[in-house]
Amino acid sequence: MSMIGLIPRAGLAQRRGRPGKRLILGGGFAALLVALTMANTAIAPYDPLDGDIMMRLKPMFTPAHWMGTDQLGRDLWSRVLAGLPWSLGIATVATLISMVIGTVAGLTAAWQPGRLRNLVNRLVDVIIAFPGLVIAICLIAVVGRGFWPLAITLGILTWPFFARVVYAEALSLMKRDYVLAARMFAVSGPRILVRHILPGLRPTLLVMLAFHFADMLIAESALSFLGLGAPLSAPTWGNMLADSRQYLINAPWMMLAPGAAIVLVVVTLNLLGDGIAKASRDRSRAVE
Amino acid sequence: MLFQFISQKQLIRSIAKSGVVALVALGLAAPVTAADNAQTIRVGVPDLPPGQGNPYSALGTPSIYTWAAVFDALTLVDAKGVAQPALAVSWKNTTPKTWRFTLRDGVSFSNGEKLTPEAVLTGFNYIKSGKAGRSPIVRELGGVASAAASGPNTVDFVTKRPDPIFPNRIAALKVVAPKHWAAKGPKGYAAEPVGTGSYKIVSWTANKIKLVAFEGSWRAPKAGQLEIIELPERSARVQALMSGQVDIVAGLSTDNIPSLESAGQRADVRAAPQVMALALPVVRKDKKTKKLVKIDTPFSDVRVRQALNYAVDKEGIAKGVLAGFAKAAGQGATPAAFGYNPSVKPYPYDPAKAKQLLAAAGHPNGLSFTAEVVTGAFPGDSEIYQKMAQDMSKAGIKVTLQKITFPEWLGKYLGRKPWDGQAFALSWNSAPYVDSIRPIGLYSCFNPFTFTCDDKVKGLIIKANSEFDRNKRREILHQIHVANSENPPAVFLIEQIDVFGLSKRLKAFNQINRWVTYHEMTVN
Amino acid sequence: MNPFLLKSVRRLAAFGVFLLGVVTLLFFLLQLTGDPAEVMVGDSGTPEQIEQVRAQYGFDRPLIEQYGRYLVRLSVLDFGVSFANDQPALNLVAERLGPTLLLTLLSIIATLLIAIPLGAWLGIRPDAAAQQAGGAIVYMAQGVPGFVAGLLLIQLFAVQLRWLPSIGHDSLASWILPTLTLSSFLAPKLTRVIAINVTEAMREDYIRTARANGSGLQNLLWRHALPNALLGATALVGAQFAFLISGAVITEVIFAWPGLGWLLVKSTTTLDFPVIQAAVFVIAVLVFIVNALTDILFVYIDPRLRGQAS
Repeated sequence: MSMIGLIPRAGLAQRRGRPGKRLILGGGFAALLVALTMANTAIAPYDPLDGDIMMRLKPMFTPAHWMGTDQLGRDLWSRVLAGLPWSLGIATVATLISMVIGTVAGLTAAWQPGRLRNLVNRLVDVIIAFPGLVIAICLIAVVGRGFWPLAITLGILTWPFFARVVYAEALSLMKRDYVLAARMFAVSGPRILVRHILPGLRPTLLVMLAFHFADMLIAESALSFLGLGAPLSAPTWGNMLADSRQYLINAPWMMLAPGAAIVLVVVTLNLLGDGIAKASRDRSRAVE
Repeated sequence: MLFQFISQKQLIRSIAKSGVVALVALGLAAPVTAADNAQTIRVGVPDLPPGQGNPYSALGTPSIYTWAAVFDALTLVDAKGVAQPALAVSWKNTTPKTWRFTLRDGVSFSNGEKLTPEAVLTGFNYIKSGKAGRSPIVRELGGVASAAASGPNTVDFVTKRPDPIFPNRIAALKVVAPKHWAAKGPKGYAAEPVGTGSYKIVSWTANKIKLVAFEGSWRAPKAGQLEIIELPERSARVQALMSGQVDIVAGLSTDNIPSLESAGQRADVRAAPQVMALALPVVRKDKKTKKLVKIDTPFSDVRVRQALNYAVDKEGIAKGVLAGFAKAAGQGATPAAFGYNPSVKPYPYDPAKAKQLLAAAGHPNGLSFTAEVVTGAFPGDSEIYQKMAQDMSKAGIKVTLQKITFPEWLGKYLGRKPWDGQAFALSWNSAPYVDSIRPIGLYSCFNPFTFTCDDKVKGLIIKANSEFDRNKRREILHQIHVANSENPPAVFLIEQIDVFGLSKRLKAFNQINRWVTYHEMTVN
Repeated sequence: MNPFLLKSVRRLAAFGVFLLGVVTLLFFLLQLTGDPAEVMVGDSGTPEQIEQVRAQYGFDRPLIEQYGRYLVRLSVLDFGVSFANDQPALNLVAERLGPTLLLTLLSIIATLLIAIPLGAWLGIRPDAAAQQAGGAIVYMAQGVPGFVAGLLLIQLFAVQLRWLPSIGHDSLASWILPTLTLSSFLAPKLTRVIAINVTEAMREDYIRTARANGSGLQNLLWRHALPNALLGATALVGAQFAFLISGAVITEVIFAWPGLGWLLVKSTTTLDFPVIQAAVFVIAVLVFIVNALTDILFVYIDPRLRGQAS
């Protein structure tokens, strides 16, 4: 099954020749997020895990709690900040695991026709057809619910998507003249892979990386909704969103705080993804 | 007249909807005519009975929400823990070990069978046959030696030891239609249940049970139809009630009440016969030797367990998290349960005292441990555990809250995996017979999977179980609560509550230990 | 041997290997989750009861023997009865298959109805201000988790306006909100894929040629750009089908929709192995069929692939 159609080869909207506005905007947001992640405990006004129960469910712009407080009187701004390393961390690790396993598997399948290719492709089919939640529930029952177990579970669930795209892209790259030439000159396999195929995959991988990261962020909140997310007191955005659903009417700011954070990250990633895709397309056009 | 008004209103509404999407009117036209002149009470529950219509497959929630409409037992334990007549009108001891129940006259099952002593014995024999391998009733009736009809209208139960609370215990045994049971077996009965209750089931689909009034029931209902709908998500249950799509929803929390009230609906909050606690395991049963062995844990020191009780602001939880609807707990039973000791007070909130006790026990720098909890089971549970951990951190106790699933919890509770010295969430439940002895006995040396064992309590339990005098027995139970407070096996947190949401049009709602009395209710 | 027959035999063999992979992975995964005997007897169970149930269901046998028996039973499609209520597991799954397929189909249709016009509009003039704003909204929509979208839709259309029901699945009106909720996940993605493909296609040489030939913009869009964009749509639907079938669980939970996803989650958390096995099997077969169909559809839509279809 082809997945190529899913990977945008260009940005939504760019005139040729202009520097990537999206890339700049996305980069700016990303820098802000990284800075907030680094600084988070230093600038958080309160302990994200401790609240004053008498100050519960205070709305936004309450003096001393500009984002409001949650059902245990905890400061939402401090919790959103404390959620940065959790939520972004889980999504980063999950995406990296997914990409590394997927790329290795996809390249292996592309490079080794025959049994190995069959084995990898069948495994990919099986995992994609397998209900992800069943795998998640089983894995979580074994490894627990900390940061690493969640990140690893999400990575294991999603690597086949990378594998499929890498496999298809690598196959087409291998038909290009310079790769065929290298093969003819008996350049060793690994060398061709590293020197010629991987660089060719880079734009696709970068774009996938951005979109996958956004998906992982949403997946974390979905797991929290089903009670399979991070530990109870971990202020992940998914946990905060899952908690907030009981307070939709009388404390909507509880949903707004983590929701806005997730939207900001997703927009950032989309800007970066589109920007990178656009840049690489322009470059390849320039080469042509 | 009344009906005309309703249908007109509904019609107007459906016409209004058709203005939005033409398709909508199509979908809504049907219910308007199908509802006819009958009233339908619609109930949203977290889950339908997992064992379907086999009344021996489970005891409490969620099954009880459905079974209250369909089945009856000989007795029904009321909110004060006293057995009230249901299918039996009276009972007495003919010997210290024999309980004789006189059946209600003229009771029939929804398939036309009559209530007879044989009907009562059908279920009892199944429980005792060994075929009911996994029924929780097996344990509840473990102390019964035999049962037999002693007259055309009486059944005798013989217990192994004198059992003063047997009329409460027998409330767990629902009565099935004997011929239908014989013909269908447990599996067939699960698919086509028949009972003496107010409603009979007409259809049971993946997430909805439709019932109609059983006019011949001894407790015939006022509303013609009942629908029980599975709505697993709590916020969706609230929204279904707010939008007028259901009349009763079970399993809410106090935090949902403001939303309900904002939509003009209301909530019914009352005490549940359960105490929420954090168990502190100190012993476990060795798999090979079958003997109790001590666990190497800081909880072994009674001062540590006392310190943990001092470290939690239970009043703060009751007032802050549960909006003042719940009470702080200081023992393993609620005031409703027989044997509750009103003079045993909850440990006061005293972080300084907690620190002092910890230091005396050899933990001057505090303590850290993991607490394994199951959330989503009781009102506010996730918030309660988090508040507990916050309070403890102020006394230098670092608690990591680990959320686990019920099967994981069960695997440890039933002794397959060790608790490894970690604390775990444990609800001290006196239902179904609302007597202190149930949780106390369960969490004592007598439990093959016990996590705690106090010799003093053990001796008192033996005394209580052979004491027939109600007042003397109560006195012994009081002593047990004192012992369990001085040497606490757990951190007692709060007395649990049940929150039901009710629509404006529902009248005469009542529930007795989660047994919803649908037959008294009407909707207009 | 007849090449067509050979191809069919190969496909069938691949299907068999695939199914064996799925059921094997499932069997060993489930062993990790816990002991169903404990869940069956519950927290008031006695050690004797647990042992009795273990023996009754054969959980006390060696694992490899259990696996062998499991394969033998599956080979005749015997999934056994639910641990919870003794009803045949396959019946419980079959009962929920209809609603699940209905919701899946509806949300695919809704996704296409939203994404194709919106994507075409965004893609055809990507630099205009209105489109830029629309694109930003699509970006943001991607960051809204499904349950948030669902609860907000219910709050607006069921609670405040009282236009639409939020529970039940027996009237057309009750299909609308669950369909929109499930589409809210797919539609933004597909919109972007289509927008990008349309933009790309409009730049391609043959479109430039068509333009030079004086064809109208409408014609260009319908004749050239959209069919191309549909490739992306087909790929997305194919890739997300497994998600739609079992991942719709959050939508099902919120709307009390009697689908497979919730059955699967519920039976996984209560260790009802026969039901999980039946559900996963049925889902795997469906996904395989849909994947095969999308492959065929691909070749049909994209003439360039016709020669190299395998």
